[in-house]
Amino acid sequence: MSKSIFSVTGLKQTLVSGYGEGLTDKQKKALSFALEPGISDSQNAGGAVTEDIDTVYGGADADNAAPLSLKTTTSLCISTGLGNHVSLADGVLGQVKRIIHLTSTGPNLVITPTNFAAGTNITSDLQKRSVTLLYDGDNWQVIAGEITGTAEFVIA
Amino acid sequence: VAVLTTGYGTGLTNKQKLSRAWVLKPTVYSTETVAAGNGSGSPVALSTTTTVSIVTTATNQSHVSLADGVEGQLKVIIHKTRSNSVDLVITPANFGAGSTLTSNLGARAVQLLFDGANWQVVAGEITGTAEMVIA
Repeated sequence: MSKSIFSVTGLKQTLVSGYGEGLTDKQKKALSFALEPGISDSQNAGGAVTEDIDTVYGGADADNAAPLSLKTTTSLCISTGLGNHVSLADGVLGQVKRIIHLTSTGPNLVITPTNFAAGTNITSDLQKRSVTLLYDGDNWQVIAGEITGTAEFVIA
Repeated sequence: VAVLTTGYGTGLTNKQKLSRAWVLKPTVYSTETVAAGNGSGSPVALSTTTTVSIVTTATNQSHVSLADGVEGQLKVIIHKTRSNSVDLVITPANFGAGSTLTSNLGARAVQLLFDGANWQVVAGEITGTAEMVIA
């Protein structure tokens, strides 16, 4: 059993234990109310849409891709003539990442995950489109978004 | 059960809940890993208390089932690995669009939401034809 302490810095108290700093996601869930409607962290409690959104301008090429944040669920991506490449590092098991191609003023947006189950990268050739990925512990999996135009799950 | 009732209605408002809630940043779903069962007569039941089921198929491992959820419940099913060319067959107890869902390739996913009576598909490529058309 680890020993928990509170460290005090000014008026801020931070829980520190053998498991790290702060509460784990499971501990947070035990204390939380389910939000109605479902609101991800792309919006703050007041409903503003600027505080926690990750807005990213694409990098010039694959070697200079702009990394998407792993600390926010939704990233708004902008591709321009100056850059159109973004990258996505591995997440944690079960992590959801929603990527919106918000604006395009030039070339297609190219998203390159470090580990991607379905291929190597995802390209969007039109703004105002999105894709949602989930990290399965090994790779990012596509869980929403029109990808290939061919049937993947067939209803019978 | 004590129920809070005020002039604003019954229970807490969303803003009141938000003031008490820990918003997970980023969103992280609970997961389970499942090897499918042997045929339609022996499907492996997917958890209805875990949001994401990561499913593998192989010889004699092809079928899973999904019991009813609670209204508004989201279920994400990922067909992670398809070994020996074995398709994944998902049979919800009650399914709005048909009887089963079949995936014939790994690294694919579908999302369902329980509407109180049936599981409805809310995300995932299903038929290869346009389902919602933007104009």
